[in-house]
Amino acid sequence: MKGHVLHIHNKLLLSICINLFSYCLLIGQSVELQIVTKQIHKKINFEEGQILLVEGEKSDVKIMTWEKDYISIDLELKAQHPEKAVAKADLEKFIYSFITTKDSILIRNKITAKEETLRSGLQAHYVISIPTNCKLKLNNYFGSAELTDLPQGVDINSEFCNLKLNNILGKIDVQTYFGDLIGVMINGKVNIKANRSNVTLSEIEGDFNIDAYMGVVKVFANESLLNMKINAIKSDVFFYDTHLSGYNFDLTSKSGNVELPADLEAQYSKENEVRSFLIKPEGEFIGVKVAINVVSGDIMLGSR
Amino acid sequence: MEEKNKNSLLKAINNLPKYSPKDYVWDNLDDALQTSHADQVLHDAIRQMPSYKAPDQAWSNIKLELQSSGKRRWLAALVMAAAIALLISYIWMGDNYDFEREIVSINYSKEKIDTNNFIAITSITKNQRDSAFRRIVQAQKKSNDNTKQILAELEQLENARKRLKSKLGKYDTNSDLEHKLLRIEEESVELQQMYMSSI
Repeated sequence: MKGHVLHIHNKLLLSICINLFSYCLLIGQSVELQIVTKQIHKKINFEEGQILLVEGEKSDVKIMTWEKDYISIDLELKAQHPEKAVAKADLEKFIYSFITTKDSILIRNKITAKEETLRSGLQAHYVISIPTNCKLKLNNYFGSAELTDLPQGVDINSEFCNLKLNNILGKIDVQTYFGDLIGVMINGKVNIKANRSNVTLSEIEGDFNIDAYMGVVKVFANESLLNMKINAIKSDVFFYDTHLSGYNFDLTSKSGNVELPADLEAQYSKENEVRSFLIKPEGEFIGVKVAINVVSGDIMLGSR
Repeated sequence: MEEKNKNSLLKAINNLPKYSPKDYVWDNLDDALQTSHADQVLHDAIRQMPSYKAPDQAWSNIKLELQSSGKRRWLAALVMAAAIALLISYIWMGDNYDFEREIVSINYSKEKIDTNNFIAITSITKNQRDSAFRRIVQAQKKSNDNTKQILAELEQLENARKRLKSKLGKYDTNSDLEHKLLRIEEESVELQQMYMSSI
């Protein structure tokens, strides 16, 4: 009997040891990857009036202006896989091209192979410097983009790509699907269509038109703002400024809450489940016009 | 005053080690004295020398010499300018050449990556649950507007998930894309729950 109990005890101990060993293996598991990197450096002559088109796939793109009058590109294409031969073969399917015409300069990379045949992790990185008078159009998919100091505006169409815009002037058009947008020092005529994407804007000036679907819109405004229209569906909208009393708000909400600071006097009305709040600055001052229309989402005005 | 220990002192002094300078020390001293004397003689002689005024012809000759030297400087400046022009044109040509040129290099490296960093594609599909859900959806297709809207959104999410998954390899480590995939999954679950509660 005693021997039997001892046997069971040993089995239990062995089982615990095996489990512990497996657990240790699991938490400390790592794989050695063979990384094949193709680095490309290219300078492209730029003529006034040409537009730069950047089309990236699985690309992290950084674009900024510089004082020189030509375009500089540093592109890195990377494939990683435990087997070097596989990584090398997959990298061959990760192609790039530079095409210059009279009106445009196209910088592009894409995956040529059928997705299911790719076995490696692929990633592209761009660093592009452009002259200050160069206009830019960016189409980027499955990656990220960071654009800095662009005085000629920008036209962006992106999917599954987080966007950071910093110090952009002029006409700015952004369409983003599954890609959060953060904009700082944005000044100009701005159109943003954000589908399943969060939008955060601060230090903004000019005229803004934002359409949002399934996301959160946060605006940190100041008195430099001229005009803003936000149409949002299934999205929450937050608008912050230290001087909210200087604005001319027109808020409409359907199936959502509206939260206002206590010191703001609003004219309230309701029609067919749509609630409206009109807030005007005191006296004859017209104020900055901000119209926010939300369906199935909340509106919040706050001081920061 | 009488020195009481005179004898002891004399004895001690006599016991001190004695040194006499070597011969070359006296030679050096002699040379130095002679040089100083020679300098004095030279300066006196210079003071006594007669002074002369240069003839006018000498100055005009010097002037002519300077002018020809100026011509050579002008030539040197010309050569320098030509060299700078050549250098600038070389740089300019170099830049032009760069526009044609594409510098490509391929590097190989190894990196140990924790398996947790790979995008977890297999764990998020939950095919079985989805297919069961789709069967319910098929049965309820002709229901009210709200449920139709939910179904349309679910379809959009499903397309987005397929597109995103098709671009992700087993060894991808892009955490942003993984977050998006999780977000799609979370929204799908929410919508499915909304749908269930609406039928």
